[in-house]
Amino acid sequence: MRDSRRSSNVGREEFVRTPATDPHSPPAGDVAELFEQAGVEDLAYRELAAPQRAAEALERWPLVRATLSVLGRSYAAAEVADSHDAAAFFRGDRR
Amino acid sequence: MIDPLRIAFLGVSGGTGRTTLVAHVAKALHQSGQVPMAFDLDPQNTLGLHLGMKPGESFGFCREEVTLEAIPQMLRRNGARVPYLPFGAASDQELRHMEHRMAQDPEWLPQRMRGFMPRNCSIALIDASASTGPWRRAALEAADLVVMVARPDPGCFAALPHAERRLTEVLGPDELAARSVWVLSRFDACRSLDRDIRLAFHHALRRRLLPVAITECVSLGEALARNETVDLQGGTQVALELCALTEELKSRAEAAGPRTDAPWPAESPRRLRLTAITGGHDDWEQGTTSRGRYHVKR
Repeated sequence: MRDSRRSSNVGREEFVRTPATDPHSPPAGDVAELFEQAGVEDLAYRELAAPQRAAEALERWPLVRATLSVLGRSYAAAEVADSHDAAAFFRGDRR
Repeated sequence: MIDPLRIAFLGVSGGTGRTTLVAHVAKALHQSGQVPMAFDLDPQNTLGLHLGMKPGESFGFCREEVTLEAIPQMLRRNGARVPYLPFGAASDQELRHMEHRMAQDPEWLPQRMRGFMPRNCSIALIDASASTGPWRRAALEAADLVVMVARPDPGCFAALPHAERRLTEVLGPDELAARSVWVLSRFDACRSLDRDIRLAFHHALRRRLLPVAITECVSLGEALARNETVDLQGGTQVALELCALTEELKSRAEAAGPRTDAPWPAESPRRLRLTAITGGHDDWEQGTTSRGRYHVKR
């Protein structure tokens, strides 16, 4: 299941997130099962759910920081925590 | 008669996968029992290629001589299973002529689109031109819901402020939140940069970024190479995401409701019925209203 496209800086726990990439790949259920077996959550979810990690991710890229500034958004952990309901976002919860 | 909801897809830049999404959303809607109509308003004329149209097909929206009766014939000729109307093949001169016409009469394009809708059409999907210009603007103005398609890359994210300004100009600041959403396409969760950019989009847009991102998937390209769409019931990751996207868009469009200021004609000609693409297209008729000719199926 390793994905040859993944970059070298990706942590070891991430490879199981590889989705089905062609009609012959395992269906999503199998991928989800692999996920559970490995005890890995959706990394994007985890990053959003942790404001400090989210802030670090935003701060990592100068162009992202600059664009957020143009949009009037701060990438500080406090604002990220204030503005996000990350769990609801990933559940597709529109309430 | 209730007008169908109109969803326009715009790409932040070229190569975002916008046309692929339109084709698959149309298919997902069709498979769920809805009657969608997908319009290709991009002179590149590629939407139909996902839906069975043979390369070299010149029939389409831009051809002045195209009539409603001819649409089922074209769909049948190309083995289509989802209702769509290609842009068609037009010379530069013909394109300029149509653009001039749109500039002279803002109702020309919506009137033309409306005349080509199935009577029982519930949702019209518009694949808007990737380039700036009158076609893209007309699609924006006609839409009840605008879907901005972006890749999770720094270039698309840097274009966000510009795209938001353009959206605000057309939709107005009050309607921006209700009538425009963003979706990330060609997303690879294995790449930390993709995840970070997704996070940045979410931070900037909040709930206007749809929770479902469409995974970068070679099967989409393979399907196009076969002149078709992927199997949405195959249970693959990307199929599940495309179905989830369709549901989300439908829900958002219904929540937004029809735009009252959209330049659609107040007078409603009878619209055609297109209940089955594979047959039963023999009883079309045409007529006129004060706004021009129309064609319907009895």
